[in-house]
Amino acid sequence: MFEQGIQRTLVVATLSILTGVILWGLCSGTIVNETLLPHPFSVWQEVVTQSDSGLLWESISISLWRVAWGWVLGVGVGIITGLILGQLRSVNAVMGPIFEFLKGVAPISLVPIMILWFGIGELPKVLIIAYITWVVVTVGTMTGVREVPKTRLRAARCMGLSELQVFCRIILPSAASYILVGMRTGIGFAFIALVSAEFIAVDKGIGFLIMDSRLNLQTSLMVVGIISLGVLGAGSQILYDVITRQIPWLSRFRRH
Amino acid sequence: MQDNWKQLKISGLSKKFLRGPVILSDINLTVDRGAFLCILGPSGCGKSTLVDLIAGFEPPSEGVISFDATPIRGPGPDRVVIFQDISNALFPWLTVLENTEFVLKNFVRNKNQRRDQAMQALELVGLGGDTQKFPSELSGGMKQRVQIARGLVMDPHVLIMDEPFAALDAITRRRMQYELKDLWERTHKTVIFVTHDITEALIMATKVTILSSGPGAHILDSFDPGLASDRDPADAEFINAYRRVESLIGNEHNDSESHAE
Ligand SMILES: Nc1ncnc2c1ncn2[C@@H]1O[C@H](COP(=O)(O)OP(=O)(O)OP(=O)(O)O)[C@@H](O)[C@H]1O
Ligand SMILES: [Mg+2]
Repeated sequence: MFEQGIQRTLVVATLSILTGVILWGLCSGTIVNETLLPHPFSVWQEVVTQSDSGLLWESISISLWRVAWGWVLGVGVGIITGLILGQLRSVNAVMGPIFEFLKGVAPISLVPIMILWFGIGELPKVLIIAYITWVVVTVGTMTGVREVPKTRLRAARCMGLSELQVFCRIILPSAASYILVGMRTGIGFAFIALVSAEFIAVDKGIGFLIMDSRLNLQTSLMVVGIISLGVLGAGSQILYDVITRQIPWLSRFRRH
Repeated sequence: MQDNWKQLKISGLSKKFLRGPVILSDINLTVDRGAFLCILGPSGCGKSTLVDLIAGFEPPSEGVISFDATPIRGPGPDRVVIFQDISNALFPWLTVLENTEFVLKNFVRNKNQRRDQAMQALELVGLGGDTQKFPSELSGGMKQRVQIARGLVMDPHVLIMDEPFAALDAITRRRMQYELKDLWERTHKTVIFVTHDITEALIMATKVTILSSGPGAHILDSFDPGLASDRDPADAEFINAYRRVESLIGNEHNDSESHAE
């Protein structure tokens, strides 16, 4: 049953991608000018060319590096702030509104101030990605802490646990599934923020590739960049699922 | 907490939440050590509120709950609650055995000893063969057995059960009632069992306390149903006891038609 389900998903996914590509191929050069919407073949050729020249791999690796560091940083800090805001009412009373405010600030609007504060090196780029991951993971963790069922907490109180023990042995494992989901959602957002981050003076990276190819009217290269972003984003989430499923210890916190 | 207590005493207990009417008014009740007390009352009269007060989850508005002369303060391992909320009472990330061992971590140093005690309790409730399962893999009745094992292993003064079988199907519920009665006869743990099912109460109780309907529920009567140990709902004396309870509730209903359900 389960195996069949996976196979069906794979078949449906392949078919839907194929249909999309065929439709795209039919539109390009007929309804839409080929300069504006390059044909799938020319995009494929661009992939081959840029992969041979090394530009594609270089862009991907530098962008992945930024996303990875930003995500790790955002997850680390996000779990801590989420636990604090979720658990400590007094801190939440003071810091909650500030967080609500920060939550609404789009990563791209931070670009100028990041440049002012941290210059144009790697740090501000990583920080912009970290920022959005932090927001997502904080919200997830906070929800997890607050959603612990009342009965579960009461059961714990009957067992003579101290406040700290209730937090470590009950609240933390209860929130774990929410934290895992938040981390996964954070991956998607990290890739969205990547392009904003690469607005900061760069000469490498997928975001740069996309913007630079617009200036040179290399639409095929632009499409290659866009597709790479999509593939990397989805691929990272799949990788995340595979890795977290491989850890038997984690799977305990999935079943609910 | 002293181990040689004789009575759990509830005196002059009233409860009113910040908002809303008085829920419980002037409850006086004693539970002897080793008794099986069933608290009967209509839905919404305040049975769970009373449980919350005895467990220490909520403070009383007036009155005291004490073991002999020692008042209780907050929840503690001397009063374990078996919850009606089947799906949230166990820890889903722990196996049956781990759930049962868990409560001993603060009290028993030796890991093997913890395991032995937990196994013993699980055997007692008939779950010796399902110790490696997770709660999501258990039926409702099995989950309640784990809760009971977890309660027994803590060896509390009182086991407080709030309609623990209400969510089970009729057949499982009846089986669990007789199992619990059997378990009590073997362990003689003090039990406070809350229900709105008269038959359920009479199958197990050594003492029955009947609450009036709310708001401002009070005790209508407390008595020993005086039934033999072998209880069958079809026996004449059982039916007599049933009628007695029913007439108590019925009279109250006539007296207070203005705020009947
Ligand atoms: N935290 C609370 N704040 C205000 N009112 C409450 C609170 N908890 C319970 N009540 C009220 O107290 C009354 C009694 O509720 P309770 O759950 O104790 O009844 P019950 O006898 O256990 O009912 P049931 O048989 O349905 O379980 C209800 O009217 C309920 O609305
Ligand atoms: Mg109730």
